[in-house]
Amino acid sequence: MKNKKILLVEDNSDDVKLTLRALKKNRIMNEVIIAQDGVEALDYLLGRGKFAGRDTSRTPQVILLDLKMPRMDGLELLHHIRANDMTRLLPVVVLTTSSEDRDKIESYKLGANSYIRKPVDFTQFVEAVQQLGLYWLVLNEAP
Amino acid sequence: MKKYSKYGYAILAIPLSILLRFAIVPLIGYGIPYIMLYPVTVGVALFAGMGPAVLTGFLGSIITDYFFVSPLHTITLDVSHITRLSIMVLTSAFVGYVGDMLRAGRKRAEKQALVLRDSETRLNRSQEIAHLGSWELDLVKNKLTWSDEVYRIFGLQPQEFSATYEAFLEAVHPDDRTAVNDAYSSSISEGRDIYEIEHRIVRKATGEIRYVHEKCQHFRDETGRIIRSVGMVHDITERKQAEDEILRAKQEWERTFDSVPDLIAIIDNHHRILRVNKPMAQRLGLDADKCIGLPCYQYVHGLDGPPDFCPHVRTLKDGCHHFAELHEERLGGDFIVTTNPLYDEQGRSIGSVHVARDITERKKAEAHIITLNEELKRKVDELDAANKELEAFSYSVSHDLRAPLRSVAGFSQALIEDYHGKLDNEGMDFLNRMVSSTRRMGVLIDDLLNLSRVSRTDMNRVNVNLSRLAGKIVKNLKRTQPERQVEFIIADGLFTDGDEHLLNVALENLFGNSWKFTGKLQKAMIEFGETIKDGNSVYYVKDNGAGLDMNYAGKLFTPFQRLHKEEEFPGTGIGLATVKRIIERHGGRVWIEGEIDKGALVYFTL
Repeated sequence: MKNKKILLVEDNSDDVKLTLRALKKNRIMNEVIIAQDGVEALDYLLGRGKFAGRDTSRTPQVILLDLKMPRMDGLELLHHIRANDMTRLLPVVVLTTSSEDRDKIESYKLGANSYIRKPVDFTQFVEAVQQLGLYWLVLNEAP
Repeated sequence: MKKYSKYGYAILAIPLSILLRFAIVPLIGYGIPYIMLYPVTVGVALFAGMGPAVLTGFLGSIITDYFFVSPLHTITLDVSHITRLSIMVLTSAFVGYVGDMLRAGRKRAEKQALVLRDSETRLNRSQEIAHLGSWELDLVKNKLTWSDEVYRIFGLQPQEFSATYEAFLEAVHPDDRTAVNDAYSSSISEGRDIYEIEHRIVRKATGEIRYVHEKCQHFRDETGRIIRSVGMVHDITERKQAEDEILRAKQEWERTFDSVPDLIAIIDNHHRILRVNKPMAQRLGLDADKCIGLPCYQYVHGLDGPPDFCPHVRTLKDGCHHFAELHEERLGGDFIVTTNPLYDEQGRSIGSVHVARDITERKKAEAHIITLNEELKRKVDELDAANKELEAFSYSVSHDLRAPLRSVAGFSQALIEDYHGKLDNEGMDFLNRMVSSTRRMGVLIDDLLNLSRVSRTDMNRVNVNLSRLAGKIVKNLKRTQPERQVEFIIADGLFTDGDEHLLNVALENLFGNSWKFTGKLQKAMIEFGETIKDGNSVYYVKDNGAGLDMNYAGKLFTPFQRLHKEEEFPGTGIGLATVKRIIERHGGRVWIEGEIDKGALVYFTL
């Protein structure tokens, strides 16, 4: 279970810290790879740029994806993930601040597996992460 | 045949005279032998004429001689016999001639009388046919006579009574009597021998009014005294009616022509005006009859010759209907001008009928509509821009404002969890306040987003079962606080047309409020139904909760307006503002009634 990686795509360091804390609070010890935007995430997944030479056959168990990011935003990244044979089957959970319908609809249209809105209240956020970890890391069987 | 029968009678008369002579033999003997032959011959002469009389005289005297002149029973031809015979023949010839003359005279007189009667009948017939009666006043004998037709014209039986001037005046229409009387008397007093007058008469029996034309002439003797007045009465009712009909038809046509608001002109093949109606004349600033003969291009278009754009020119060319929309400065506006060819009885073109309909007001209205449309389009564009801005704003509120809030909330929580040992109670209290404030601000932001979403989302109108929506909401509310005792009264079968999602949000807010403001009651009651207010059907949500001060009721529908402290009843003050926007988007109205501690009653229409 531990070697199942989580790819967290998030530009805000506060959010990164809080997400990691929430994972820790839920005792989810999986390795978390952090990409600060879509470009970096894609580089990781395809073994390019600063991740050149990485064994790309070791894909993350789940990708936690923020939407609003510099350079390449979450929706664009999602589009690339679903367009590439290597990554098209990866489970992607959109984890975002936005509750706008158009974001939700666009995400699902592009093939997101889940859409979770980060609550302001941290306690609620911890609960959400707990359920997320339980489902995607334990219950769900990746293809 | 008749001629020979006359001679037969003449021969028969002879034995008659002989027998009569024998009859008087006892009285006078054989003296004056011809005494009976004379009267018989005269009779034959008078009734049968000269020839038979001579025959009677000749044969009669021979036979009389045979019977009554001695020597009796012999026929002797001596001088005295021949003399007597000759005298007899001559006498009978003379008497026969006289008889012929007399009969011819009588025949002539009879014939004349017949001719006269015939011509009288014919005159009478002609008068009847022509409805022309005649009268004559003999001033010497003071006798008035009317022809049969006069009686008929007056609606009387011919020669029903003797004509009198009074009877005539009585037949005259009461309104015309003075004029008729004056015409007669003034012609006499002024010495005019001929006068005529047209007047009405009333037929006594039927009350029918007839029109007559009377013409009268006076005749004078050598001293200049009027001795006779002769007149004729002509019944002209039919002619008069036909004339009236024509006049009425003409007036009606003219009135129609003039009362059409369109400007109509009849124009000949040389562009000259034949006729215009009143509106056209008024626009040209002339009297209608002054327009006749004027060149239309000069007076309508203000040009020296007919222009190509004028439909009249085109109609003249091809004999077809044409129209054009023209601005005519001289007629003062914009017009749709139509021209149709006009033909005479023989089917020859004599010009066209030119009808101009004033569309100035319509044009102005159109221009106004165009301006309004442009303005509207600009406003819509502005609105679109504002909506886009609002959307961008909402998006950034949802994203950019919540993110830092989450950091504050998350790290405060982290402080509480990880550093509670290093802070005293007051420090912990501060942190707890921070966390609850961030939570509250999160709710506030969410409510604000919902409010803006209510205005932004597209309406999808369907038939909505409000009772079913209310039932679901109630179920959810009960689940949040299962321990509470609340009686719900939800009316069945409340259907309306509207956006199901928005109406659900509105009902959620209203039920949520009632649920919240009855929270401190042991026995709470919440009711949803439909009723009639001021003749209109309205929905209502009623509770027996905290109620409200009506002085502030109006404020409740504006965002962030609250009547209770947060500690008393939590809330952001956006719920009723959201309800109001939803109801207004449905074209309805919402208002609230209540009293402090006596519950609240929210009405809304859809």
